[in-house]
Amino acid sequence: MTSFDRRTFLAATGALAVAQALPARARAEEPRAEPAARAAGRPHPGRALVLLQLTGGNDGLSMVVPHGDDAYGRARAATRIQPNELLALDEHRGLHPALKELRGLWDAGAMAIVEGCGYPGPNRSHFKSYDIWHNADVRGRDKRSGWVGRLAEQAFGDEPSTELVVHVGSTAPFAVYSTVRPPLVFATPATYKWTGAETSDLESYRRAAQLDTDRLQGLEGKSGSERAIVRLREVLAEANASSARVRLAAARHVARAKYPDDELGESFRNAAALLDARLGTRVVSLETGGFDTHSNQRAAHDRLMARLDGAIGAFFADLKGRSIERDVLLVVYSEFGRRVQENGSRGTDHGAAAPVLVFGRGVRAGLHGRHPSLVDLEGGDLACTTDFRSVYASIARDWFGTDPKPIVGEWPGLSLVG
Amino acid sequence: MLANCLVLLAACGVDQPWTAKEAEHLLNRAAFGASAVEVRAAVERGRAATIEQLFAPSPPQDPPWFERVVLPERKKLRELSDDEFQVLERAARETDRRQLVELWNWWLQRMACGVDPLRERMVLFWHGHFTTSTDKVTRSWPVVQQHRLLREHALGSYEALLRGIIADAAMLTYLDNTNNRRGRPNENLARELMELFSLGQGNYVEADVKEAARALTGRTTRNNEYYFDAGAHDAGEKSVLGTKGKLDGEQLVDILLAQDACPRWIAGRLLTWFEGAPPSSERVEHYARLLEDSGWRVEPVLRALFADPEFYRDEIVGARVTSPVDYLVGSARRLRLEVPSFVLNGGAILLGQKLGAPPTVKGWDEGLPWITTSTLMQRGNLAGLMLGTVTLDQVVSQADLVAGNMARLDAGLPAQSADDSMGSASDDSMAEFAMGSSSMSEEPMSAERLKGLKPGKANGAAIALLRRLDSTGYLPRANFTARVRAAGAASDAEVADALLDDLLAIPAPAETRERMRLYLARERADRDLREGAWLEDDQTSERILRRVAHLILSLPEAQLH
Repeated sequence: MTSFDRRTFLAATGALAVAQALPARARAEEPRAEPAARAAGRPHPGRALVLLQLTGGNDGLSMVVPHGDDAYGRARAATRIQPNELLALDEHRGLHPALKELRGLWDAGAMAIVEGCGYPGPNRSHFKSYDIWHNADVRGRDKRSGWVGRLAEQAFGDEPSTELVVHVGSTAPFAVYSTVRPPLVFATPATYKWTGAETSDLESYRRAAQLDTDRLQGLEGKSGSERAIVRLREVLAEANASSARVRLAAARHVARAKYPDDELGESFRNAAALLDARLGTRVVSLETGGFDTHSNQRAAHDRLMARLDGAIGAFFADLKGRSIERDVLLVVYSEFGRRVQENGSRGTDHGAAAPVLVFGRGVRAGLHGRHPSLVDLEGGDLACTTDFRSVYASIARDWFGTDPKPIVGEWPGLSLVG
Repeated sequence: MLANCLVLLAACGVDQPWTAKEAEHLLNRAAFGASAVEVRAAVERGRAATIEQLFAPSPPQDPPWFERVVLPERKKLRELSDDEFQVLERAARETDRRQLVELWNWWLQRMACGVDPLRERMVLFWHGHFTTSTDKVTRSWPVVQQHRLLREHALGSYEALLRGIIADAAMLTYLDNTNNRRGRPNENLARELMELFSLGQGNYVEADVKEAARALTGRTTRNNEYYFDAGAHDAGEKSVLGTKGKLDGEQLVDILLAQDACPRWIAGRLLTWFEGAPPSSERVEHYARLLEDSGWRVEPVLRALFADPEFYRDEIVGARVTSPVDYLVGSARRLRLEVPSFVLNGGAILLGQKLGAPPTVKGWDEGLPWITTSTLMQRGNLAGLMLGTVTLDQVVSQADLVAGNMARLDAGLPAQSADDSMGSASDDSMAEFAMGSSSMSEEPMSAERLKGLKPGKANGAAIALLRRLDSTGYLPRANFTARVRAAGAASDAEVADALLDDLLAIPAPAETRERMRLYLARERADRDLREGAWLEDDQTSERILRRVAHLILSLPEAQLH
């Protein structure tokens, strides 16, 4: 027997992907009803996670500003946010002035801040740090799926929805990588379709998925090629159905708030439409960049905060009153924060710990974790007081009701749901 | 000697069929596919000659020149302000980034247009075997050097590659061997060296990994090139897989090559790569012996494989899902279009295969995992982009409108303004829509409706690719009318067959041929064109044939080879 492991065999035959690529044809014909309440131990029906990555290393100190700490004023000059500008949360912290909608969510008890979130031995390389956040392992990426991929495989492995994990954007982060429950990736619902030169071609494309009846009678005796064609035709049928579902979800969704007219606003609007349609989506992954503010930070970061506030504010205003509102948890994170001490270019360099923001009707609002000292630094950076894997563990355990240990390990002690 | 006899006997192929099926299969798997004409030529040439041609030395070509980008050092440029230094650093990193893109573009061009497709395929194999990722190794120089190593020995010696890879700056960086020092070992390279690069899981124990890591200490980089730091090397006594000594990296490779598991692992990987299915242990054993007997040279193994009747078995012919690179390069070749490399590169990324950056150190998960509902549709869209049947105007005008309204029109529902209530769409039409049956409205959008629709952002990488292609003034230079006429096709059935045979890598199923024939008949009827005669004037026929080509390349059948 060769030293091939079973996974190699399965991967080579594509059998691993069969579960996803062979949708039950019946699914397309089922009414889009919410799943019935499940037995104890099953993941909570209907709940979803929206995961937003702020790419580049967001300056947490300019987002949740420790205005009550003298050390802040000493470390920051050009990047400093004055106390009178802030939206104070308490006598120690305040939100960036542009975060008005977020302040509203805080006041409404729909926002939590996990302070000092990071991991031991911080890595200041963007890519290495993403790998750590995406794989939930300080050694970075390994050979498994990303943490959300593992969550999907474990908690929702047998949920039939094709739209189970969706990345709204162009390239999905490794966090959602999985060959068992791969993410759908599209920038807008309009591009999640096959584009024919003429509308009649679309009909021809749809018909290409139709199976001849004699092929339905078992796959034994057919050549490898024929079996592969049958499988792919089923994926095509599902692609047509899924594309129609997603675009119709976007069509039926009449936004109840004005989303900002930019990419992030558009992504959140699509996320709201997708979730509201209850297609069985459990995770929506989003990403927005520009946070690597090494120089002339103030103007750039102010714009980023305004953009963030507009999009998130609109998202929750849009969900307000809809049944999906209580089933959505939004988690906003970045691969690291930035240095306490400002640099010589009116900006900041790569740092370590930073706050993670969590939003939703079901969130246990307020502050979590311990505020890191601006004086007792580690290598010039804020020390991590809450490991980010606690956040992931709470999402798995408290929000979805699944065992976090196989996904991210043992990280008790934080509950974001309440 | 014995191996050579076996190869010769196998190459005679006395009782083996050599038809279009086998010829196309060989050209699909050993090269990047072939048009119907090339397949016929290969059939005539015979199996031995076709195999020979795959290994024929290619005409000399300049290797690409790449600049060795040096990052500015803060220490040496103290006189510059922070801002000025940052500008320099950013420029250097940008050059690095662009050079990496250039490397992949250059390689894709070679795959699509080069005369040495087997070598390119083997480089792709080694690229996914000895993996590194540009997500981590962002400097272009070490990545270029690694690519050169893989190219040089692609059809050569596996031993040379194994020895080369433990002295490869990109690999040493990617697997953290730069942090592997005496007294503070880092096991990453040692582990992957054994698990993925040479032996496979289950053929060593943890202690072997630890000791191997010690043997690899000191192998690091300096100025982005391999550098041996004797001071960091652990020169003590070690024991790996039963061999003791003051083992260093070279001796570690000696030990790995001496394991029975090594030729089996590599032979198994090669078989799986070319066949797309797990090989039997007997065949792995046979090819493992061949690899070892040939002194770790890959060429005799491949020659034997291509002459092996098992290689042409029904289980695997036409049964493998193409990787994104295979699909795009293969389509470009079959279409005989000069597709800009950035389309191949950007398209592959969209379909989930970013050259230089596989998702994990295991490389890419091949086969059916490439296909999701989104990537399947995007493959077809990219084919349309190459053919010019998917244009920027068309897509942007669709995406610029509020996405929902376009979908409503597709669904036969009236367009909605922001004030409308949600009640207008019935649940029936939604269910119908979800089932995929057609209820499309032919109603054009009235000017009034158009005014009411708000523009959104047409964004995403797919659109960006389209925009860029549009800005180059790309015109697909193909003439399908001439092509089908040259194939002697006149009737709709013949035209459909000619296109299917050319554009698919597998024989088209009967129902697909019939469908394409019906498509052509309908298109002709809509325009009052006479069967056969319509091909004499390519002004009307060409647009129709391009749409057929687009449709064909979007089919499930087109994702297989």
